[in-house]
Amino acid sequence: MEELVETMSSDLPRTVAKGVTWMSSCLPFHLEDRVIHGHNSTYLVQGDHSSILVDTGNPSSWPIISRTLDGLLDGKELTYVFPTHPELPHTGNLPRLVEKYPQIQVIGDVRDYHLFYPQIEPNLHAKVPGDKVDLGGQEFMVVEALIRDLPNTQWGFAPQAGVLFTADGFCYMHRPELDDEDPVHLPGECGLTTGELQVPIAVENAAFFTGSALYWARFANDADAVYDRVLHLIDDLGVQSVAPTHGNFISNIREVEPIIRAGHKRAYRYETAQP
Amino acid sequence: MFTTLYEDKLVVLGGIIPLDGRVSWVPEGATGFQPSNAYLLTEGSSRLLVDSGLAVHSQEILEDLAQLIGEGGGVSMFFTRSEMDCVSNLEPIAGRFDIERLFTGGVINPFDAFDDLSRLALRGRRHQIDAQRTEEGDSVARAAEIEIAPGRVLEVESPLLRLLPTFWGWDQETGTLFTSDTFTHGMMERPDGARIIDSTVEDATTVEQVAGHLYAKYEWIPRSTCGPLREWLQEKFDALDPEIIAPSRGCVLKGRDVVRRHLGFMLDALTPQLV
Repeated sequence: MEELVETMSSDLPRTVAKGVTWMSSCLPFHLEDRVIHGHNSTYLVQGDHSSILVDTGNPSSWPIISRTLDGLLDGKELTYVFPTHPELPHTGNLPRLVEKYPQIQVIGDVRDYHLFYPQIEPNLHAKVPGDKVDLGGQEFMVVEALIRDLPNTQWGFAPQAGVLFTADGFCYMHRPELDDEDPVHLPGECGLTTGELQVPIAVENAAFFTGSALYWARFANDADAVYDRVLHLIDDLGVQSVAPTHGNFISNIREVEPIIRAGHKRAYRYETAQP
Repeated sequence: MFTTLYEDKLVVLGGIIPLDGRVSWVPEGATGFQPSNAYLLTEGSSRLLVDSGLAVHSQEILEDLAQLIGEGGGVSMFFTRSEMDCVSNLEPIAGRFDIERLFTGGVINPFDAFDDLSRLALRGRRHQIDAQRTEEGDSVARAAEIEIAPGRVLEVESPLLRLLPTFWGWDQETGTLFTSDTFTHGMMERPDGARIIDSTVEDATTVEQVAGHLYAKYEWIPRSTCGPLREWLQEKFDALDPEIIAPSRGCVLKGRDVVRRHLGFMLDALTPQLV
């Protein structure tokens, strides 16, 4: 029978910072001569009395996510879920989460969600950048998304852990030989941080991915302005590591940022074209 | 309640969205009502549904479909985008009607949003429409054809003007261009107002209105190199000379004079210094 459920590496879930667990299900892509994986990560941030799930994962990975939450929460209810933006890999399990945890608060820029998921409207609680929720010895703060596709994208930050959650920002491929527009990796690399990867990120792959997933980068020649703002945010908040939805957990952001920036610049197509 | 756009060939169905500050894809402060659209193409006993509308309009869509194709009737489906305003009625439609074929792009099979039993039965009915990518990944001239019935096809391509992976459809039989999340600016002052802008309707659309809606979602347009986008759009409309513009949101634009006028608005909106 065809495999219907996305797989999770035996290396995950994995604690990547204080109170932050990286939960990723990986979508397998079967090519002619190999299998490659694409991260579709969720992150659980836990405090003394509350917890928040960043992004929901694909509906097809719900059995894995539900089971992993059972293990990590140890009988407690999940208090919050923060969908970074309303695409299926990020929000597709919202109805299932509300069914499993009826009191859960869906926080963030929740515009449009009442149209997509009318059954969870009572659970929706709008937040704006700067708003915080207290988890008990751990906070979660809503942050303006500086790299985004949909207008109602938000980023999050866990100050005590130093982790910035960037949705589709900072997604990349690190293997030049994998010719696909999705940020993929090889089996066995699912649970590695960028500091642990054997093969570094390549600028050309960052460019290819950026030009595809952040399509606007082809037309807007402002990579330096974008990433300068990101670096200011990193400095202001004291970010230690970056947690994208698609791609490995970034443990060495200062080394990775220049490569992503260069890739973003290279994605621009119209250097000599008319305005 | 559905509206016929072309006798025995094309109807538009879907609900109305009240603009109350909770919708991300309209300009800030927008008021009034916006149609949410799905389109049923018919050729004899064959039908193709273009997009599925919003979940909040599920009952209206289902009742209209039952009237149009009969309870439990067969229908093929084509998603212009994998975003929730296009896909979120897939499951209820599959529960009440026979989805014969599903045409989508992207790496995720939309049937994977279903519970396992339904997914098992339906997964193989999906047809990938973007399996063959161009070297540059840009607009693909007539990349795919969806046969609605022998002798009638919907031509599909990935437009240069897009945000996320998106497909436009061209139905030569009715002269209809399906533009997904562009040309979405046609609003209604009242929920029972006209959802079609044609020569019989007083059309007060302005270029500022068109730009406002375009920039609400395509927020990168004002800071981008737009010449190539204008050229592509002009060439597309010159080549096809559409009679109807059919967006997934907003009023349908019908009649060549109306289409040409709104193309002009869009070209000006893609020249931000004019707005």
